[in-house]
Amino acid sequence: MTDLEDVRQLAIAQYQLDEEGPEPELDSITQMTAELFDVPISAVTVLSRDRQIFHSACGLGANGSPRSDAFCNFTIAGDKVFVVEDAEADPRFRDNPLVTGEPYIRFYAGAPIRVGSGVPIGALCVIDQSPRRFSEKDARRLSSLAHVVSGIMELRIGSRLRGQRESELRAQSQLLRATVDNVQQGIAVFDAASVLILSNERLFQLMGLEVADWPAGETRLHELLTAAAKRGLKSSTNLEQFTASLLAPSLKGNDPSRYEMSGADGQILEVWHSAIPGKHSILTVHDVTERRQVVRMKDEFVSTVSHELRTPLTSIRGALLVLNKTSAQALDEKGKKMLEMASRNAVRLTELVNDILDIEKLGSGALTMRLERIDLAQVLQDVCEQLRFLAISYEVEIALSADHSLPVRGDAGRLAQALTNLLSNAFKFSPAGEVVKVTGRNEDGQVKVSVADRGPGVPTNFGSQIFRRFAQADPSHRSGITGTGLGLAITKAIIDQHQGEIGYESRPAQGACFWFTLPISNEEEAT
Amino acid sequence: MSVLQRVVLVEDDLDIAELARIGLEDFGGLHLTHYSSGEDALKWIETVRPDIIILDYRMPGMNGAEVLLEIRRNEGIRDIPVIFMTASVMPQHVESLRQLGAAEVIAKPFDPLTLAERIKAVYNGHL
Repeated sequence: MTDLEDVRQLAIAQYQLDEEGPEPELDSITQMTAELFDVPISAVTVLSRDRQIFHSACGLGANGSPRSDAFCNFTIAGDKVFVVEDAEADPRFRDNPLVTGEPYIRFYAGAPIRVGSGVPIGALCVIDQSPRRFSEKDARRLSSLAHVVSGIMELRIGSRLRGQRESELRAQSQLLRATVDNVQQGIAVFDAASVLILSNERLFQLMGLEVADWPAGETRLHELLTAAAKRGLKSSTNLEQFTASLLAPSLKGNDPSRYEMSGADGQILEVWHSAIPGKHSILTVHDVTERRQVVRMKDEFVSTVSHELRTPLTSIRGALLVLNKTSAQALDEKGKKMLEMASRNAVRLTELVNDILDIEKLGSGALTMRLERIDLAQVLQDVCEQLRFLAISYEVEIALSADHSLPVRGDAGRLAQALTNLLSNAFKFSPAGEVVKVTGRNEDGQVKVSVADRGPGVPTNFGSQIFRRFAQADPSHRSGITGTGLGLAITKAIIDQHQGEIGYESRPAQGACFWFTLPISNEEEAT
Repeated sequence: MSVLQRVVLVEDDLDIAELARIGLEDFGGLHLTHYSSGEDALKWIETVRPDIIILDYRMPGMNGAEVLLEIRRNEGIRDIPVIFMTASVMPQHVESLRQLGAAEVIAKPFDPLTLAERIKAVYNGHL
C-alpha cells in the first residue's frame, strides 16, 4: 500500500468516516446533484481499506460495495474529475460487477472529496445506466459540489472533534479533581492575581479553617495564609512580617517559599508555596508532626545509647587500666593474658560505640568539621607516633615519609581519625614483621597521603563497596581479623567533607595502598 | 601561683566516682570530695571551697548544666572553674556546655591514670 493510502486511511479513521450508514445532511446534496445532472444516481463515497462506503446515496439501495469494484478508486488517484462515458466500451470497467450487475453502470463521473491535509478520501459521483457525454462545464460544476461536500464533512468532523475534546477535558478535569481530593497533603492553586482557583478539603482541615469560608474565585493567598498562621507560626518571623512577605512581589524563579505553622490539632505543618507555569502558584501543606517525632526519637535514642553504653565502659576501661598499672605484676601468665584480653576488648567496644555514633552523626549531618589551616605533615607525624604501640602489638613497623610541609584546610582531629582508621586497617592486614609505609606528598596542587600495607590485598570483587557502611571482606579473606566495618565509611565521609578524594590500589597477595587527596591550602600562614 | 589541691566531683555513678578518686588521689595526689547529686553538692560546695569542680552531665535530679548555673549564681563560689565529664559526644552538646562556661569537657570513657594531669592542666590554664 502506498504512503498516500496510509495517510488517507489515517484521515478516515481519525475523522471516523469508516462507519457505514447514510448521513441525512448530505442527502439533499446528492439529490440536488442527481437532478442537476439529470442522472438516476448520485452518491458521496468514502474509500476505506476494503470497502466503498456510501455516506449518502440517491438512487442506490446499498450502503456500500467492495473497494475493488469502485470507480471512485480512479477518481481519488487524480486531481481532476474522472469521467467514464461508456463503461461497456471501456476495457477497465466492462467486466466490473457494478457494470455487469446492479446498478448496471454505463456512465460515471466523480470529483474527489478532500478533508484535513487535503488527501482525497472519496468522491461525489453521478451515475447513469446509459452512456452519456460530460462537458468541461459539467466537470467544473461537479467539482464545485464536491468542494461543498468536503466543507460539510469538515464542519461535521470539527464539531465531533470538539465534542470529543470537551469530553476528554471533562475526564481530565475529573481525574485532577479526584487526585487533588485524594492526596494526603493540603493543596491550593492560585492564579496570577493570587486568587484561589482549586483546592482540596484536606488543606482546610489541616489549617483548621472552614472550607465554606474560603470559596474559589474570591479567596486570596495572603488572606488564607494569614488566617492559618494566626494559630501559630513556627518560623522566626512574626505574623506582620509574614503577611508582608506574602504581599511582596510574587515568587521569583522556581525557589519555593517554606513556612512552618501549627495545625488545627497541634500538628506541625510545613507549608510550601511554589511557582507553576502560567504565572500560577501552588500551596502545599504537609503534616510533618510524625516525621519530626521520629527525628527527635532517633536523636534521643542515640544520646541514650551513647550515655548508657559509655557509662559502664568508663568503669570497665578505667578499672582495667588501674589494674594493669597497679596489680598486673602480681598476676601469673594466664592472669596477665586474661587482663590483656579484657583490656583489648574494652577498647574494641569503645571504638565500636564511637564508630556507630560517628555513622549516626554522618547520617544526621551532625559530623561537623572545624576547618582551619593546618599542616597535615604534623598530623601524620602525631598519628604515627600515637599508633607506635598499636603497631608493636601487631608486630609491624611504621615507615613515615612526608614532605616538610603539607598545608591544607582541615579539621586536624577528624583527619587524624581518618588516618588512624587507615593505619589500623593496614596493621590488621599486615603479616608480622612487615612495614606499613605512610607517605605524604604535595602533588599537582594537592596533598596526597597514602598508607600501604603488605597484606593479602582487597578482594577484587569489592570495588568501591569497600567504603560503604558495614562493608567487610568475607571471613576467609579476613582470617580472624575483626572490625566494625564502619571505619572506611567514616574515613570516606571525613575526606568528602574536606572536598577530597579517597581510593585504593590493590594487588592480590602484594598488599593494598589506600590514599586520599585534599586540596592544598594557599592561605598565608597566620603570624 | 596557687596549687590545685581540692577537687569536688559530682557524679551519680559510684564506680566512675571511685575510678576518679583513684586517678585523682592515688595517682594525682589531689584531695577529692564526692557528691552523688547536684543538690547535695550545692549544699556543701561553699563550705568545702574546692579549687575546681567536676560535674557529670546526666544525673537524676538536677543535671550538670543546672548545677553549673546555680554555682554561677552564688557569688561565693561563682569563680571556681567547672569541668564537665560527659558520655554525650554530640558536637552541639559539647559546644553548648562550653558556652555555658565550662572550662573543659572531658569525654567518657576517660583514662583514670591521666585524669589528674588533665585537671591540673585545665586549672593552670584557668589561672
